[in-house]
Amino acid sequence: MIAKTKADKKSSISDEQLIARFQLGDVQAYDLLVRRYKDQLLNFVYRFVGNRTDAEDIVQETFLRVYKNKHMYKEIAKFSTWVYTIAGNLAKTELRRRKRHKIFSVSNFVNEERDYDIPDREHSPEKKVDSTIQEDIIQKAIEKLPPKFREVIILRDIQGFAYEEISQILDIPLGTVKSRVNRGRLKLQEDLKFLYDNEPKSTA
Amino acid sequence: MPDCDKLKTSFSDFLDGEIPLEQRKQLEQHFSHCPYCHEIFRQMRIIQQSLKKLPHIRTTPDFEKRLHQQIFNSGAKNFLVPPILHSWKLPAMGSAIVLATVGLFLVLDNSSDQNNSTFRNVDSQLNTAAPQFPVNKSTPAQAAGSENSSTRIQSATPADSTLINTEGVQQVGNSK
Repeated sequence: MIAKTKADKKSSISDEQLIARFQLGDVQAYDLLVRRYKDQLLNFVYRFVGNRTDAEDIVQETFLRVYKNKHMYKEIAKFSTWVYTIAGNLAKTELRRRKRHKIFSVSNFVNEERDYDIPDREHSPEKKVDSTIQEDIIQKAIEKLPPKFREVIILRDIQGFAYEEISQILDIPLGTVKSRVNRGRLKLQEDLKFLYDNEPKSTA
Repeated sequence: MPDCDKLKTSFSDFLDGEIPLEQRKQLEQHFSHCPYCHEIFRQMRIIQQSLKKLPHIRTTPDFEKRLHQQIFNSGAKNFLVPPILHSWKLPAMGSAIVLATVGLFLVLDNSSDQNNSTFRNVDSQLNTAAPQFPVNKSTPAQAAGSENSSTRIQSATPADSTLINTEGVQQVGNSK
């Protein structure tokens, strides 16, 4: 999982203790939780919806719901599980809304750009593609994944969650999570192989 | 190869290092004679590393400010109020004290207005009755500084004090 800030590392107060304090009315505890999670939630949602402004609005709405529904949180779950569940549900709602309004169209960017000719300046496989362009292509490939694969790939390979917690966040069986991660990774490989073809096989 | 599709289901576990030793050996053996699967697995590993290296974006600087505004606009209770004030008792007591103070002040102020003329009469009577200062024999410089009472008192000698108020100082002095 994304590392917490240095200030937070120093603090021995767990997320669960903070939400408990907030449930008793300590607004400062809420602010601390916001500071701990705002950036990692933004990255999660941004990778999911592909638009920074929308992502930030969704994270705002997530924290607003945490504020309003603080008593809905039960100690049986980790706070991170709860807040990621809220953010994930809001992100999926946003995708459905876009689909309804036909704002969002599935990008064929990756397929169209398979013949993208990028100069191989340093003859290094790792630097075959300019990093910014490569990041953009990878992001488009993530967005092209079906949402059920997309969410597990982001949580597992970008955010670094354990399979068990992904299972709790998405409320699906552990085996389903692993299966979806595998299929998502294979799908990404299929869509991005043009970036890594003809590379030496020594890295395997 | 017939085994390829079946073995692909284990690629993720292999990548995560969560695969039984026997299954791992089976995959490695398969890779040694199946360049197709070997290449897929190699690319999956590179993509996984690339995903981890994707840049992290940060929320805008006013994120928390906007959030606070949203919470405030939503009418959420207790927002921006210190936790100590969240109970109804303390604010109620505070309000009662403030009201009592303001009420007392208004009552006193009202009564002082009514008695103002009386006080003025008493003042004038007291002024008339007050002992008259004797003619000051101090130098003009001392006279100019006489308004600054603290300086005057600090620098005054007993003799000077006698000059200021003969009756009062002498009474104090005599009492010693």
